[in-house]
Amino acid sequence: MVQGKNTAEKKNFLFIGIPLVLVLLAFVVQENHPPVVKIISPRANGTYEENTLVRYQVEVSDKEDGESKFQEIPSNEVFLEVRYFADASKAATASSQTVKSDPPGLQTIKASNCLNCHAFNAKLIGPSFYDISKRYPYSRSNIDTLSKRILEGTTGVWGSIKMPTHPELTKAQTADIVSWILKNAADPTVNYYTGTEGSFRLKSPAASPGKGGAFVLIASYTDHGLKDKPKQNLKGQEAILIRCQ
Amino acid sequence: MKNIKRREFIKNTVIAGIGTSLVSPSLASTSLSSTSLAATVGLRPLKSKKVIVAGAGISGLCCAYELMKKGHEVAVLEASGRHGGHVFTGRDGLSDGLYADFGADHITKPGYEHFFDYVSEFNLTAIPYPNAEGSTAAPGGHLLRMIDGKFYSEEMLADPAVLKKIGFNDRESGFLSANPWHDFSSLFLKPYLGKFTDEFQPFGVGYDELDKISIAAIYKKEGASQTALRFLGGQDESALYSLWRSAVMGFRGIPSSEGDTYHLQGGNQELPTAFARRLGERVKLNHPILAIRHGETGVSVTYKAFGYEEEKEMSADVLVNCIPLSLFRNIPIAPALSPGKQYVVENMAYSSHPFYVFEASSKFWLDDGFKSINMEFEHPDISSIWQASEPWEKASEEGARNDAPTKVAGGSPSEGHNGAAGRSSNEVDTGRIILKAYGPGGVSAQRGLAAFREVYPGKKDTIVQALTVDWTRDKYSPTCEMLPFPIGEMHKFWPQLMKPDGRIYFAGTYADTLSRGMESCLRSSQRVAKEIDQL
Repeated sequence: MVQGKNTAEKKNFLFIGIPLVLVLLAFVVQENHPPVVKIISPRANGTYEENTLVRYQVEVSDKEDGESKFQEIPSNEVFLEVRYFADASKAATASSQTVKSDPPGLQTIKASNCLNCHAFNAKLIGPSFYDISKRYPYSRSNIDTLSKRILEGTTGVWGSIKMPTHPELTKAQTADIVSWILKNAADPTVNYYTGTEGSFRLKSPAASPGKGGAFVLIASYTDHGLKDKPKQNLKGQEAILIRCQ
Repeated sequence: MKNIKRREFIKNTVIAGIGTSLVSPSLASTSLSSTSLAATVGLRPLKSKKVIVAGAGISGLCCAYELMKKGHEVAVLEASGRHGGHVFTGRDGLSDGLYADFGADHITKPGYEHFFDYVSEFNLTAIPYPNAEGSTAAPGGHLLRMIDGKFYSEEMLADPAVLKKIGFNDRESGFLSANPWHDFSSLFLKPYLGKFTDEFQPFGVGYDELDKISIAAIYKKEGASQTALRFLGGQDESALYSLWRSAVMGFRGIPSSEGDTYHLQGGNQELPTAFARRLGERVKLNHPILAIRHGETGVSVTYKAFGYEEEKEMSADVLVNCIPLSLFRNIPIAPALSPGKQYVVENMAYSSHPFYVFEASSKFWLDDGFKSINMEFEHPDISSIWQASEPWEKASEEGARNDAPTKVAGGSPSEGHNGAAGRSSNEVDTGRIILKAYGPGGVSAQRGLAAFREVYPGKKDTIVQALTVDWTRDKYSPTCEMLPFPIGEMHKFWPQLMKPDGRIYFAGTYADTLSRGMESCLRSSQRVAKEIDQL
């Protein structure tokens, strides 16, 4: 009897316990899948004329978020970094780099609504990050001034257009944003674009004319993670190298 | 000669709408066009040109419509899935069939003569919309203005003692107590405006040097106080541009109040829709232009058709760009545009802002003892609010229901009326009211509402819905009007912005002598259609 009870218990364990453990295990280890990012155009290793507009198209596929071709990926969350290297061998190294997470300031810029009105190097509704960095060189006091403006909004600083308030951001976050902009936006070798498609001007910095140099394009997308684990988000990217004539 | 006569005949029949006697009734429907007529009766207009119009906003649609009427073959390529662009009337989320214009807000009289011509041509109805976007043209607006945290009524601001206390000097206080605030800049600028005699000639009147200073510097030179400068703004605006603009407004008889205000019954999108209906399949939605090639005799564009991955080509004699330049500059063009045109394309700056649309179940402000909801605030997320529709009952009580809708066809400014509050209605059978408010881009409607509740001087409101379209997020129509030219750059923009570059023509709100809402879209489109017709 005792043995029979044991057998029944074992059977119960086999039939109920194991599947239960498996389900629980699956639940515990359920993981977010990284997005797959592909640069459809321009083609890798292509050669383009200096100072022309180059069209780009990026495709994103993420198991959880969806497909960019079905417009399930918010286009303004897809980024393209275009970086110039005077030394083509360094460009080749950069184009094979593994995925790196963004610095905190850039992360917040991407997650907030900054890029609706500001581009890195062109005037949109608001001034470009480049123009901001020219007017406000990197300093503690400029970081404080601009952080305050992001938080409280402004009028009349760059014309009549109002900048909205950003109460959803913390002081630390706005300081990170400003610090990143003032440090990086003035760098003539790099530019950033948003959207799954668009165009960029292939222009090498004035100091080092294009011949012999190369541009590294890094398209990236950071997914939204799993519904119950939104912080487990993952970044996917593809990098290619193109040259200019 | 024969062909010319035929062409004229086609043009006239389409304009007069008497094509019905020649073709079947179905062809005489809204999709009737000269080219469909031509195809049917075997006629081809002489010198008919093939024209690609880039962008199906109000400019692109108007230009294509005018070209079609003149007997040309047109294709309008629109990147997004709807036509109308920034002229957008929304209904989703509003009750009882109410609607609101989330983009282009109002039309004025005087100032919208071309617009009103189309109102007549398409049998649309313009209804009075007093106090539109904070306009103080209509009497009885009872505007409350917040200054330094305190609300002032119009009566209070007519008292020189109150004005002096705010910080205006004696001359300014005297002027503002006797004149409306919208006339304020004329106190300083009036002596300058007489020199302009031709709206196409801002240069050479003796003010060329004024492009190098701001209009704020002129105010200052003319004795404006610090307080006046705060209200007048213009620190980044070329003085020459600003003076020229005021002069052109004067030439066209547009008062500084901006005139009496109206909107179209059914929403302002009724006009782009009327163009699009008549253009029919010529308007190709979800057909983004990817690249442009142009030469001395023609153009070709690379585009994508909706649902197809492969890129296609279309050739034409002419391309009219009606895409805002802030987006057009991202389209590769070969060979490159001339340096002068390229500068305009790359540097034209636009404004962009949302309207918050609030639906209220009653006129709650009356319970709080305010005569109107026309208010101006100093909150960073909301700067003004006004009433955009009257409840049906109210309009009915005042006898407007029987003779409504109030048709306002084109004609002399005197035909318009001031549209005192109560005569205006959206002609929707509801007791609910649409309020509109003004704020910066990037702010949600709920945050806009929270800001309103923070600054509204009454006890409570009955707002039950808050909506907005954040145009800054819009991929296809992110911009509103062009911004004034910055200091020292006017000669780089004018008259270049009106000129074609080879076979590429330009129409849009900026491409006119007076950039002013939808009217300048229509004016520039008609101008371009005429220029192409005469090629």
